[in-house]
Amino acid sequence: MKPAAFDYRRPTTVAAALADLGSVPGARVLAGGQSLVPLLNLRLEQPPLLVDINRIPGLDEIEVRDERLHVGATARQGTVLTSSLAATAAPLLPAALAWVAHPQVRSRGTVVGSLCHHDPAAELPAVAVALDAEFVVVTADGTTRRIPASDFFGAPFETTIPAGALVTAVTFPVAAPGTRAGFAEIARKAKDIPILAVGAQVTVTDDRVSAARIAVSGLSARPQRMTASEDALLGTVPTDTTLAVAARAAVAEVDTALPARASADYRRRVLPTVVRRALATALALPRTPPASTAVDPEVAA
Amino acid sequence: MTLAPGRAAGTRIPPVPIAVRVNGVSHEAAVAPRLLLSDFLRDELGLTGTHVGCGHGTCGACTVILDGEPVRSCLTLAAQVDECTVTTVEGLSPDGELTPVQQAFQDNHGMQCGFCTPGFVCSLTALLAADPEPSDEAITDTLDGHLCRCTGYQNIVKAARQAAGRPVAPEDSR
Repeated sequence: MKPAAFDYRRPTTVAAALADLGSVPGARVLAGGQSLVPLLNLRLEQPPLLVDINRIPGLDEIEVRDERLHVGATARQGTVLTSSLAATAAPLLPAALAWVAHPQVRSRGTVVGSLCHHDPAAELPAVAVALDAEFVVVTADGTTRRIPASDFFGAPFETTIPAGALVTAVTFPVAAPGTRAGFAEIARKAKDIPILAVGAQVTVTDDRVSAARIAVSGLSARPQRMTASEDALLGTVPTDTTLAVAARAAVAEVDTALPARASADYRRRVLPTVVRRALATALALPRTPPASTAVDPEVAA
Repeated sequence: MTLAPGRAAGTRIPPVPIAVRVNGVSHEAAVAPRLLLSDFLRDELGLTGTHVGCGHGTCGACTVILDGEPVRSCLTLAAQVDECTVTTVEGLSPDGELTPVQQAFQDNHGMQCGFCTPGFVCSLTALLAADPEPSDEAITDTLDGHLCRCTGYQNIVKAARQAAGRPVAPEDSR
């Protein structure tokens, strides 16, 4: 259970990293390695070259610029999880990171790396789609492009990153004051890759919901925005009842062919319950609803 | 010490020179890029206290402390620890006495076969170094990153609570 042989470069500038990535077809970027190295160890991936970007200064930034939170390509999940800047600017990001793997993995794993890995059931892609994240991508010719999250995720474990390009950061719009977040998921085993996961970031202004961003992963190839649930919440005073209405409005494409950990029927059935739990966490309402507002009495326990 | 090039036999891939401090001892080596930190520690340095269970980051047995943080040594390349400091279970107590974490495992029978124990001990040591008074949630979060097929975890939780200076049997039974 060891990797196939590969070459290794450790550039110290983005330009040098791009040159290395362009030097061999199939070269891969190594950031935290917590998704890539398991695949190497199992020989599911056998790249000819790894380009280790961990020694490029500045790529580990966690900063707010131009009304967006910038999370650099080597910013560790554990660092972002405890960042007060991230908690204020994009509270859904740390809320989701608490569900990602374990401290021993988050100490190395990166936010950008997990997004680029694009496990269709993983937590962070749902965050990126919910918050309209943008990926800062430097292409082989050195030009910088911004790819919105809605265009970033391809088929499972694929993205639209151009060949030879490097994602240097992901950015999130800075949330308004009074924004809170909740994350909920169902997994076969705590901290495992979930069956499905829902992230919700909600702004409450003068007791009413003024903004709602909800997305789910694990149902189809790409994370999906839950716009019907968002619309059901907007303008309401959040209560158990409005949460139940929003949760029941949760409809999403469910891909029966996705290599999923549970059947399409099951995922469709539990979706409203998980939406409700994420919203209840965001809005500090009871996670288990009163029986009268249960989304589905058989699964809402 | 200088080590032989790693195991990229049959290829012309150049080894990567590294300088790493392990358990207080400086090592210089030239490693194959694909050499995992776990195998470097075990096979090149003879530090077999780091156990390799699953080999892909699930079980936590290979956890070591890298620059103060617990990491999976099977998911870290030896080439990546150049200029870093690594502590394995052998380096937790240079004088041979049991550390408080190790003593707590012994006192609470927090191990049976012992295969997973070095990883647990390294993780808890790193947790307590970063947060001397961790919450139950923080303890559980850390223990969650390790599999133990013998104990059922209860005695490991007790050991962790003792090491954190807390009552071993909480009134609110978990």
